[in-house]
Amino acid sequence: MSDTVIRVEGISKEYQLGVVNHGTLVRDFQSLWARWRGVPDPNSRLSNSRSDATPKSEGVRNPPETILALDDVSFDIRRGEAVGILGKNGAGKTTLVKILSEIVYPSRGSVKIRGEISALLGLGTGFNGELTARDNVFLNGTIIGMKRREIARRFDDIIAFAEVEQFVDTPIKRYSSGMRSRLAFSAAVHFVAETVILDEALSAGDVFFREKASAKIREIVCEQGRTVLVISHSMKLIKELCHRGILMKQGRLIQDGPIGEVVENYLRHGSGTTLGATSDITVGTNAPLRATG
Amino acid sequence: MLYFLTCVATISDTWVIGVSRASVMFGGSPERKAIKVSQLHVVAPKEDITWTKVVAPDIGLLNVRPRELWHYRDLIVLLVYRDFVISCRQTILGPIWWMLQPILLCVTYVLIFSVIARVSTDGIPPVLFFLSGLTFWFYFIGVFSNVANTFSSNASIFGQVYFPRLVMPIAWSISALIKFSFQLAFLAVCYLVYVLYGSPVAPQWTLLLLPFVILYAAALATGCGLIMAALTSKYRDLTLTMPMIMRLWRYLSAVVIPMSAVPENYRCYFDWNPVVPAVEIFRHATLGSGTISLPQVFTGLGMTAILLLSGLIAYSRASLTSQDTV
Repeated sequence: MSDTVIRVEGISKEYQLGVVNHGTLVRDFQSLWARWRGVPDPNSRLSNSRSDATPKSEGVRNPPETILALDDVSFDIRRGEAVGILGKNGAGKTTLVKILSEIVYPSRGSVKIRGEISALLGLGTGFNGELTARDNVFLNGTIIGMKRREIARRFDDIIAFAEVEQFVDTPIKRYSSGMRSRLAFSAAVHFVAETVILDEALSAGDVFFREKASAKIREIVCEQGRTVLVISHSMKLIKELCHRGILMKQGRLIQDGPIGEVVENYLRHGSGTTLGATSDITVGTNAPLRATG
Repeated sequence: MLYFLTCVATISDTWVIGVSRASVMFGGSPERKAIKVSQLHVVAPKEDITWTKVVAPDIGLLNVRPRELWHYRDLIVLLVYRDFVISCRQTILGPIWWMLQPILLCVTYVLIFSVIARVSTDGIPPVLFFLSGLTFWFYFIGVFSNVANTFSSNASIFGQVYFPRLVMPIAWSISALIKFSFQLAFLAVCYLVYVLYGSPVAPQWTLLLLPFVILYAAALATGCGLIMAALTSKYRDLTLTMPMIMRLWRYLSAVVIPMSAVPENYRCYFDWNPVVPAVEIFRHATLGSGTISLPQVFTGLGMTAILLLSGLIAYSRASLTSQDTV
């Protein structure tokens, strides 16, 4: 208990299907009015029934279509654990990670965090083509909350790892896409905090760089005292990196245990999608997953 | 010798305490935080006070965390730097473009309002009159429109990383200040030329108020921009009204037509426009013309405070849901 780094307490996330908002101002006011009076929001599935998935909608002519991307998920993560999060597309993995990294907020429940979390959800955040590699690395670092001094200390390592020493003061719009993604990857892995969230494919560049990149990721994961959450469709990678697994299905946490059992269970019941199960780390699209709505 | 060592030990002790206090105050590096956490832990093993951060749907009304903003000050500096570099790189004229915009509009106004329509400019040379108004107006509107577009122009960054969303508006109002200082320098040059040729213009004591007028304009523009940002993150079509609002607002803000040229019985409506006193004071400061009324100034101050506060509230609410709605 004493070294819990992340505590997730009953979080749910509700999304509206179809149009965002309630579509019309009328529904918005209806919700607002309900909130003011302190009665359950007629447009929310959450406030009507906590765990019941069927909406009760007395008095509303067209019950709005909502979906629970996360449904009452709770777990603790202790310092030094390496946890793999498994689940099919749309199981709520990315929503969970986005809540952990404070990009979206839960509709209910809370997440308590001790220390710093760095979430590698997308590489090269804030990169601008007009700026040089130097400026971009500094901008990227300060966006994730680092001080310029700390970045300056790691700067040479970042550039050396990305193998772009010659082009430090060249605007990165002149870079090849490989160089740019190497720089982004290098910056990301050099800025990691004590708790790291790795979402999906984290790799860049040619086959040689890819080798180096996955070695670096292993180094990060294995470092003493580091807490890691991994989301990947590569069972091979997850089994190798993690010792604990969390299985998600339709927004619910359905299994939490040793990684071997969880993977086995997932592969047995995860009907259909064995597509990603055998593939190794691949270069993924860095686009963040959008809300199912 | 022994005495010396003791002294060093004492000093380094206090220094360590100082450092750990500082890290509690400002976040500090992860390693240091880990020490802090374990220390606190010994004192209170079962309390939740050791959590660094709690992510929950309920954030309270005014979710401005000044300490966190201070932690991100380097980001603000770099964002301002980025704006400057981007607008100057690979251009022939660079910052001169910033002056071109008020100049062209000024020429248009001189032609339309002074040459053709013959609207009074309080006895000031029309070029100076319009240029001073427009210089001020472009600062105001620059902050307003950029702040209003915060969510749509930063959607990709906001979708990947958390940082206090208020960083962006602050950076915008500072980088607009750089642009403004270039335009102000140009105004000063024009001014000197006119003075050399013997125009009846003279700066007044109100020049001392200039920093406050700029601060006022920044606060007002940011407040309005934040409200607009919060609204547009939910209702997209409001972005279409932005150019219209900005243009109408300009004509009602004494930028083009001086308050003295507005008929007496309509003037009371202008009291409700908080931009008017700022424009009038700015013009009074630089050129020595303009009507400043104290009630107008106080109304403006009050409205600015209300707008800024409600803007901050609306913005912090909107940044909770912006990733779900934008």
